Amino acid sequence: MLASFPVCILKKEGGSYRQSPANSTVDLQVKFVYDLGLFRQGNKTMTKINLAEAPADVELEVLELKTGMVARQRLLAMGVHAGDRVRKYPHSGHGAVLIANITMNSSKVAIGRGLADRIMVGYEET
Amino acid sequence: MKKLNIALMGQPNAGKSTVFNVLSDIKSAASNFSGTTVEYTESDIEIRGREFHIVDLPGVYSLNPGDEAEKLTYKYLTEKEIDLVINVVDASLLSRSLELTVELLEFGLPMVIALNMWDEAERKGLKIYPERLEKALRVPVVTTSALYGKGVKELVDRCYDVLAADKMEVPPVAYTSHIEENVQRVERALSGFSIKNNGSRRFYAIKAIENPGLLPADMLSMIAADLEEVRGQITRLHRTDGAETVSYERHHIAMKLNEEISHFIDRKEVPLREKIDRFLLHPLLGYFPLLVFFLASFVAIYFIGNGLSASMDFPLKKIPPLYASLKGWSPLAWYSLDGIFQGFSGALGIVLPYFLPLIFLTAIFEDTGYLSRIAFLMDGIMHRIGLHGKSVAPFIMGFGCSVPALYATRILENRRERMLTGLLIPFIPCSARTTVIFALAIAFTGPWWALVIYLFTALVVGLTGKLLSLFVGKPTGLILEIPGLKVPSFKVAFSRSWFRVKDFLKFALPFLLVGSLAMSWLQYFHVDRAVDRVFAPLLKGILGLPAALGSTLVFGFFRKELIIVMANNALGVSSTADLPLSPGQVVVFLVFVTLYFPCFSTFIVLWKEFKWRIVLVSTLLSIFVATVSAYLFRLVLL
Repeated sequence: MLASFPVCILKKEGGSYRQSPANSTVDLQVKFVYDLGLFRQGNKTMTKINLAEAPADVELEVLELKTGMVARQRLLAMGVHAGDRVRKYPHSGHGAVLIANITMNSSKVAIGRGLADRIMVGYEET
Repeated sequence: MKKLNIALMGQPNAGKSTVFNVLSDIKSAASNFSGTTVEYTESDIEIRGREFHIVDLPGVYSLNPGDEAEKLTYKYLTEKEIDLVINVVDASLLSRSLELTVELLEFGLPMVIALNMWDEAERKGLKIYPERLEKALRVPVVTTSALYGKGVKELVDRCYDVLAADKMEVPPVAYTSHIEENVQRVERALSGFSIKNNGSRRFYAIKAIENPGLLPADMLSMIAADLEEVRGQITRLHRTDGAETVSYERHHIAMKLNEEISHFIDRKEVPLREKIDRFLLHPLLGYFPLLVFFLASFVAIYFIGNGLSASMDFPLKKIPPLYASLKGWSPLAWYSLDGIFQGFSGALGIVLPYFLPLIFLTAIFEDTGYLSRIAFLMDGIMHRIGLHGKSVAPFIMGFGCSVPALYATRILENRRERMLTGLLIPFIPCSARTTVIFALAIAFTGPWWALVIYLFTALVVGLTGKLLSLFVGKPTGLILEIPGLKVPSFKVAFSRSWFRVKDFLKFALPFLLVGSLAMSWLQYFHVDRAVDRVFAPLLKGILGLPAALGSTLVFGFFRKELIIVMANNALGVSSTADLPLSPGQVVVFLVFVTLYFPCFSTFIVLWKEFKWRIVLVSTLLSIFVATVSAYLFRLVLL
């Protein structure tokens, strides 16, 4: 699944993730809007991937909502924010993606595949 | 004394309608699916001898309206006279729900918070301290479990106290300093502006940063210079726009509040429900319960309906001989009496027996939260016909009645999807058509043909959707909350069904009686033959059916249930089983009447919701689809 998608490695540097120098042409600083204690401490390597292709049943961290304005507002209002930890349900590879928000302990949210393509998440590879 | 207005506000599924039901005697349709209240319901209630007007507004996730239902709420909130807001909060989803609470505090109307679904939160192992919330927000907080009527009396008392005190300061929650400075700067720029609508100056200042499109043009032009600078500064500082920054700010406040007022005493998951849910939502296995569900509903309606109908048949058959002698004495009197009796026996013996199990099952089903799970499962398939999963909800409601289904299209954010769904809904067999299908299928063909007709309409919806979507572009993405599974309450289902039966008796029964009487008179004066002649080329020529059925189609336009009563009447038989039709003809007739035309009420609602062009398209489309479909069946069967 990973092979089909360009993977970039994010490293934690003093409170924010930075793209690894190997392919960093843009400074891909992921926003840390508030320190709510949502992020685990210590250095770690994260894989950045879109939600549609992210693995199921792994703790994912929402990094960026690259969707249009209307969809973003809706996602935010339904409790999907950058920085939240979510878990994806197993899916068949087509149709909507289902996530449960671990941080908010809220209801599950189904997200259409086209939108899930544009939600970036990170996870720690074990 | 002036009647005071109370508005119920909250996020979808927070239980507003249940609170409303308890507060008033009206049973508005409430269900465990986001966006079932798409129109507001109003009622007058009396507290301690004083009258209050109470309104249940469609649920909103935030005050940034996306779909039509949310726009309706926003418009009501800003424009109508409101003396008190009851913010219904789902206690089991506290942190997310509090984001709207924070926004409502910014709005500045007097407010009482109802922490609803208190029992559900406890079951989740969440310990909440309402007094801490009351202290932090400085507004009254009441815990309720509206489903069981708990806490509602206290809610009423607190509301009364707030309204009696007349003046209530609603202190807004302060933002972090650098954003707060910006908010205050815009607020100052607004100071000379007299706000005609509801909502504090601070609320509009925040909205200007977050969602300037919502502000009136004159207000926006007054603060344009300041706003541009403020939004520019926010974008530079936060590397994102005003909308996201403000949203995160509220999110942050809500999370902090949540931490202050609640903690988990026992963080156990609910393993059984989660296991069931995993099964229901499984991308492959999930279709199995879906199929079982549909088949079970079908079988249940078929057998219960059949049983009820058969038990009514015997006593009803005893009545016509009692007035048979009237025919010789005064034929007009006999025709009139027989017309009314046929209408009555049609309602009691044919329509109600199938209508009852259908509405009861729907009521139970709406409560469980399965509807949104179907929407999720069907998203992939729905994309293929040019829609997305959310359209499944209006479709399923369409099995009950097209009218609420058309209203339910308001939950779709996009005009394209609304229109497409609105055009397809009239093809779904509603409870009235279900009655016709089942009654005729039982009398002539057996249950399998009823199932064939159902599957065929699914095919028609799919193909028509695919065809129409070729003209209107691609569907937008789905974002849908999947609320927790709930055990349905039989009490609520009973009261909701009773409400709908009452509705049927009040609005449909007179229609059936008058329609049946009119049909008898048409026969007496031989007008029906003229109508039949108009339809003869279609019915006899294309579909191979008796031309006498022509007048039933006209009545069917007013109410689809009339078709069955009228068919008996038109062909001069007292029981459906005696109709001079072959099983093949019955199937062709059923296919045609299931698809041929939206009924009168559907027609009006289509007009109201989508304007005349869509009504015209819908009309032509359904006549075309029905004729082609019935003709295909004729080729095979006759």
